[in-house]
Order: sequence, then structure tokens, then C-alpha cells
Amino acid sequence: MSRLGAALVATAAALATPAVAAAEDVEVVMPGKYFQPARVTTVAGDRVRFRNGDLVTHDVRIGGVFDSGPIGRFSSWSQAVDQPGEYPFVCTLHAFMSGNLSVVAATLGAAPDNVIAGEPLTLSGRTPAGTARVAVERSAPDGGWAAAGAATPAADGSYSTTTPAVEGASYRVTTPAGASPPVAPRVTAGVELHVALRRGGRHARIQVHAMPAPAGVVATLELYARWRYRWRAHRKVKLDAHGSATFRVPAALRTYARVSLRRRAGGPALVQSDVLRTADGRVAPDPDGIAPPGGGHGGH
Amino acid sequence: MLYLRGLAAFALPALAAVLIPASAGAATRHVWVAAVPQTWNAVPNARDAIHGTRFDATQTTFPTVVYKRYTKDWKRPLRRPYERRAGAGSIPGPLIRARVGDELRIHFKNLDTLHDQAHSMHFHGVAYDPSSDGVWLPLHSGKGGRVMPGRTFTYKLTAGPGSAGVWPYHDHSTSMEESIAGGMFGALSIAGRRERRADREYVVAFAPWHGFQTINGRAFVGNTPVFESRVGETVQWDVIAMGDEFHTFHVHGHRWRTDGGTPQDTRGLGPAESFRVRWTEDAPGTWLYHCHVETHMAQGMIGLYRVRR
Repeated sequence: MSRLGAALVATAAALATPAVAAAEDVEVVMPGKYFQPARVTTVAGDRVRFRNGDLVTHDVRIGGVFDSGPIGRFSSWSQAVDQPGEYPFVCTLHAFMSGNLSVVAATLGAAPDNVIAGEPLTLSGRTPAGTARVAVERSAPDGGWAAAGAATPAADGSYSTTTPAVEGASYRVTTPAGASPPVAPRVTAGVELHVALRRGGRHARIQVHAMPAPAGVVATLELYARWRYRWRAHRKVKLDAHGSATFRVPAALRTYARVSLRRRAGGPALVQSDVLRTADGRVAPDPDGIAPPGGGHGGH
Repeated sequence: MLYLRGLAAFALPALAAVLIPASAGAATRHVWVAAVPQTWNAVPNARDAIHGTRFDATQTTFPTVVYKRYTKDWKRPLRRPYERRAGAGSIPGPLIRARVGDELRIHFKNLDTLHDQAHSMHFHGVAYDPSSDGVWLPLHSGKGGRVMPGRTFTYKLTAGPGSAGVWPYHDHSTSMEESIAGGMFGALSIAGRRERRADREYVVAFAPWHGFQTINGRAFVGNTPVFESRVGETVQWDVIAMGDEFHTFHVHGHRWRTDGGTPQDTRGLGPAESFRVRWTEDAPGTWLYHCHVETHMAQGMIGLYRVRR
């Protein structure tokens, strides 16, 4: 084929399948008489490259649809698969060599892995390049799917969105080409946070207990800065496996204390305890909410 | 006792200035300052705690340009511990300290990448040649009156015999009006030749800022500086005013003596006026200091002074 002809074919291919340009290559290696990895997931339009790292010739037949022909040692062959579905693949020369290709309309992952109900859950993944919109769906108690938001993918098809985590729910995204496999993040139901202050000697102990015990959260003891009129983080600890932690403050401290649970230090408070007065450990109104009766004026 | 100490604090430096020759122990002090962009929130706790009004950060936070102290050759920003305690360092700018008889070399660099405007430093109270006046005057001023972005200038100042006290400095370049409104001002604190420095020194700079009436660029108790001292310490308040309005400096539970010896607990000042007051602390508790122009107080010109035993 002339160079001009090759260029025309390449241009025509690019126009016909615009998704290919931005799609990712996934590589499957044959280091010996097996596929590595044997189970592969791609987004529709992605190209899968089979590389023969073995000393003998192999071939690949994908789902009875695509056939590589002989792939000599240290050679490779690639194929784009546009239709979502399950595609078992084998080497017809060594029939015991098999694997599976899952082609999906969209990939989907949820982070963080273990969240508290109501905490923002980040859903992200990839769709074929050029996908205009993905719809986010959450499993409903009746077994169906309910709308839970939408995202606009970037030019390369990647997308990310957040939605409040719901206990027991699964999530998926849908595109015109179909739905992603669902994900079911672990979501802990509403956490109750109990605090108690025990005085003794030179120190007072503030004990905190979360029910049920949430995993991987930071408990922050916050003290009210009385001359600054604001809450300030005083100390941070990780809750133990039972959801408990103890803070120590000087017994002479005269202010207000509360404990917040956060996914990470400095992040938004997911759960907040009652406010305690450090003088006697009694529950008190939030000093940040103290307003003059009737919006009156301070006297001078 | 308090009055006697107050009187001594004023009378002795004046006496010392007369008796001690100007050259004795004088130093040349180098100060490195730059005009730099800074995002500034006048109400970090988002509230007027006295009146119960709440604010959103978008109503109280704006980008601006301020004076900051740097290490030699503007290598890195520097905030001296006494500036932190005095509530100075950005709005108002560095607290520049010297003694009568000192030479001051203020090395200024314009790092304004926010507005990309010319800036300068113009000092009150000290002596200098017109070339170090820091004022923009067409056909007359030199480079120090209009330091372009990226450029530097060294102001040469002398703390002369009459300079003991507190003085403002501010931008006097072509961008003077908006630069001062944004916070480009600070205090110069000049001690008498043999004068003992107070144990605590506080800067109180009254100025409007984006619709708030601020002290040191902050509005409302908890945001304005919380000055701290202990009973028995000598405290010095450096008070300056910038902008277009008249202010009255008032501290609860305390009084000081005027130069004429009259007890006083409120003292007025207009734009670019300044004074210092001193006393020996004898009143433990949490006190207010504020501008007693009542609309100013209601718009944020109020702070806390905490005296421990």
C-alpha cells in the first residue's frame, strides 16, 4: 500500500471510530502458556493488546468473533472491542489457555471504601470518549433503580461526581450504551456520639464513644476559644476498634468542649457530640449560638 | 503609683534626649519590607459576637496588597515575635522599632502581582531628604515615590531628637488612595535614647476596610487582636488612624496621663495622627478596647484586652 493510501485508511478509521483516539490500551501478556492477566475489564472502544512473551507461537480468539491468526514469539496483536458484553478468549493452539474480557459501557468505583451515612461518596470512572452525560442511579428498596444525580464526562470519557452515601444501597451509572457494573460501598448507619467528662486530680478526662463504631475516622476534641469566639481543634485521635477514645485536658480549664468525627483531619465534621462545660461536665448550649436577647447592644 | 510611673515614662525620655549627645550608641537599622498580595478576611470567626450578627466569608474576604517584613535581600517573609504580640505584620505592616539617634535604612521591594501597581513608603515623624520622602510628585519626586512592580528602593531615615513616639507610615505613590484603603500602612515606634521599652507593646490601627471599621484590618471581638498582659507589667499602646475619619481610643478599666499630666481614658485622633500611651498594669480581667465613635464600634472597631494575675 502506498503511503498516501495508508494515510487515507488511517484517516478514515479515525473518522469512523472517534472513540478509539482517546481510548486506553489494555495489555494481556502470554509469558508462558497462560494469559496474564486472565480477566480483563475494558470500556467499549478500548483496544486490547495481546503480547506473546513466550518462546513459541500462540494465537487468540476472542468470543468467537475476533481472530488473531498466529502471533509469533515476542510479537503482539491488538483489537478494539466496541460492543459491551462478555468475551471469553482462548489460544486455539493451546486450548487450556483461556481468559475473559468484560467490555462495559462505563467503569465505576466508589471512594472512600467505608463511609458514614450522609457522608459524600465520590463515584468516578470512565466511559467511551465523547460520551455526553452519565446518569447516576442508586438501588431502591423495591429492587429497582432511582436517579441519584448526573455527571458530564471530560473529553477523555473520565467522570467524577459525589452523592450522599445511603446505607445498604448499590450505585451504578448509565450511558446510552448501557449501564456500568454496580458497586456496593460499605456504609455505616447514622453514628451516635456519646461524650462524658470525668474530673480527677490535675486532669479531666473526656471519654468519647461512637455507636456503631465507624472505621477509619478521626475524633477531634474541640475547645471553645472564649476570647476568640470560635471553636478550635485541640487534639486528634483515631477511635479504637470499639469506637472509643479518651482525651485529657487540665482540670483547671474553664471553657466548653465537644468532639467531632471527621474522615480526615481538617475535613468536614460528619458527626458532632453534645457540648460539655469543662467546669462540671454538664451538657451546655453551643456558645457559638449565644445571641443577645432581642438582638440588643453590648453596654459600654 | 500608676500615675507616677506613667509620668516617669514620659518625662524621663524627654530628659534623656536633652542630656545625652545624639551620637552616643546610635545604630543603623536595616529593615527589609515588600509590598505583597494577600487574601485577607476581616472577620475570621464569621460573626459579631456582641450583636449576634453572622457573616459569610465571601462578605468579609478580599484580595489586597500589604506590607510584610522580610529577611535580608527579601529572601523570605519574617514576622518578629514582638510583631505577633503587637498584632502587626501585614495589616498593619511591620512594626518598625528604633531609638532616637538611629539611622534607618528601609529596603523596600514592590512585589505587587495582584494589581501590578506602583507603591512607596512614606514615613511620618522621622527626618529624611526629599529623595526618601516616598511621595509621588510629578517633576520633583525621585524613584522612591513610585517604585514600580519588581523594583526596589532604599529609604534613608534619621530618628531625630524630636522623633520619640509612635508614627504612621503608608503608601504615598500614585496608588496611595486604594493602597491605604487596602491596608498599606503601619507603625514606626521610636523609643527615647535611654528609654526602657515597655514589657508589652500593642499596635492599634484604626482604619476602614471594605465597609467594616477595623482595628488592624479585623472587625469585631475575637477577630481584632486579643492583647494580653500580666499585672505588674508595663504596657504601651501605639495608636494610629488612617482613612478619612476621626476616631477615639478608649480602654475599659484603665486610664493614663496626658503629657500635661491630666488623667485620661479616651483620646481622639484624625487621619494619620498617632500617639502612644503607657501604664503599669494593675487591673486583672477581660476588658474592651475600642473606638468610641459608636457607629465605628458597631461596625467592628472593638477588641479584647486580657490581663492575667
